[in-house]
Amino acid sequence: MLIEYILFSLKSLRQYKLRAFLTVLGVMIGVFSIVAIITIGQGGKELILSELGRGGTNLIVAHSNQIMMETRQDKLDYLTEDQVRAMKRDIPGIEDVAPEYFLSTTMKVRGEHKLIPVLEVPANWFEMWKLDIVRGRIFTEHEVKSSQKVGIIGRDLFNSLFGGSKALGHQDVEVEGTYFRVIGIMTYKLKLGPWDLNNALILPSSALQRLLGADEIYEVLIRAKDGVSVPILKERIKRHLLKLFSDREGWEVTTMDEFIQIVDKVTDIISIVISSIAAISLVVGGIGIMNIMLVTVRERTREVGIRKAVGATRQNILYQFLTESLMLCLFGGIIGIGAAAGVILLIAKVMDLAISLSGGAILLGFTFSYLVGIFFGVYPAHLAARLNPVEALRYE
Amino acid sequence: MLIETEDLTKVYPMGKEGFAALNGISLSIERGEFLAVMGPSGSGKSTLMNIIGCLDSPTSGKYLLEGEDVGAKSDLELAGIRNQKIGFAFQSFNLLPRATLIENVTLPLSYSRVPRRQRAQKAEEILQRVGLETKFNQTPTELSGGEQQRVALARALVNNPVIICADEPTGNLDTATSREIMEMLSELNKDGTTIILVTHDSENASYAKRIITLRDGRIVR
Repeated sequence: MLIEYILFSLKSLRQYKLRAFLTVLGVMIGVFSIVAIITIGQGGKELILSELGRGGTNLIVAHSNQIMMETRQDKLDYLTEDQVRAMKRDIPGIEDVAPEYFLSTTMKVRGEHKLIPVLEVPANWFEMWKLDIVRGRIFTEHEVKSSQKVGIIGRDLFNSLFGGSKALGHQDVEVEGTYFRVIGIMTYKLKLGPWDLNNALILPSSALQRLLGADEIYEVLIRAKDGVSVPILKERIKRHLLKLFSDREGWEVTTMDEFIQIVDKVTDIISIVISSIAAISLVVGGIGIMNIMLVTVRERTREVGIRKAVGATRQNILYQFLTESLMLCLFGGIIGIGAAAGVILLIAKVMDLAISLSGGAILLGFTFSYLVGIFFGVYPAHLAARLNPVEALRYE
Repeated sequence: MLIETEDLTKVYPMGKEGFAALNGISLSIERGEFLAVMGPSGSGKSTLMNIIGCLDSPTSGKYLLEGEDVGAKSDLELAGIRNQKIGFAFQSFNLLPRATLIENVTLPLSYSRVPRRQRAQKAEEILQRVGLETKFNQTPTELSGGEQQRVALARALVNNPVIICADEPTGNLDTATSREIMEMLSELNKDGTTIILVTHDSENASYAKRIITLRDGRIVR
């Protein structure tokens, strides 16, 4: 009988294709948004978490948050290289520390002046952060100590400056009048934000700092020793810094786990908010389905009468109209999932993200369209099933 | 006895008292009869036929079909009776306008458990019997009134019913076509099918073996 219901439904849907299509748009958009959001959200989150976690969870970042907040204080609290070295010596449990200097410089890229982020780090920073070097090498401790003019460049910036395929070893970049030889090319999958490392430059620490005559450190990357509790170490670092800056809370200390939790929470909230909007569009779509089914039932009152006269039961009629609303919703769902697949493919390509439509997301899309079809189709189908055959046959 | 009714009434809610379409109908119809139900409009002929055809239920009274009390049947059982034992022909044909003749005729079969492969075959046989073998895949809108009524008869016959209920089957047809349809009903009756014909045309009624006349919901003759 199911095949009959489907055939009957197809036949009747074919009679109002445009109307069916317009009706189904709501469900389509709803399913599309849910599938796309879940896939992109999940993929994006995994990517952020894997990039954040690439150095391992025993990393701690300490930074002077006054950089961002411009407090009333006229002097920002900064550390010197000696003080950073002292941290490693004085705080038990620290395996390694690396100061991070954030600067920027203007560079002429393809005839345009562009602001390029410059990160200055010691050689051990690479080991802590485990950045992907796609070509060349990182700089050595010796090169840092002897202030060699070498640098590591983001892949995108390298490509726009020198073109992709050339061998390394002859390219120099000019920063504030000094030339640095490119010895390595790096990539970083997170391309968002101003600190896109694919378009940045990494120089040996103090190379430029010394040139500019400043030794002010506002961020330090710290790695805990194996077996040391990271939260406890964090507290020790906090206390150390408080003592250093006479109890001013100018420095913030965050563990990698905390960063990950924040990202987790933020992406979850974004997902929930957008999913709710998608759910609303599903409900609106469902109401559209119900509306069109009510019209259909009314238009086909006589048909219901005829069917009942030749032996259709109430259940037969109920199932027939329910099948029709289900088919509408499943059509919408299929188109929605298809559109989501297309958009996801596009985003994956354009943004170079490793995301793809998962079986779970497809199943979810189908489940939602099925539920909408049943939920909003039951009432019209019930009305049709309840029609009195004599009155239905007389209906004009 | 095929059909026995006892004191059937049908009251439609209308005004204070309600409108009594049937007012105590007691009637027996034997297997193989050809009964014409006559009477002016509003006399309750169609209501009686709808009750006999299990499309409608009486307000009170008893209706036995093949000895079984129809009043005690569930909706599901009534649908089964309509499907298996009764065939309808209406004045306005009541075909599905966008379905082909084959689809129209197979409709009752899709509600009985006839295997799909046999359905079309059966429908083709019956359509041949009513002389429409060249129009299997046309739709009713492409046919003349007489042809449409023949399709309706084919649909009524496809499950080998015991009773054919024909409610003014020639009401929309010209004289010649009306005769054709009446001849067809007559033939069916000769083959053993019980026919109940609602009509106000005495020429049509003359095909029947027995005529009853209703007035104000009562049998007057």
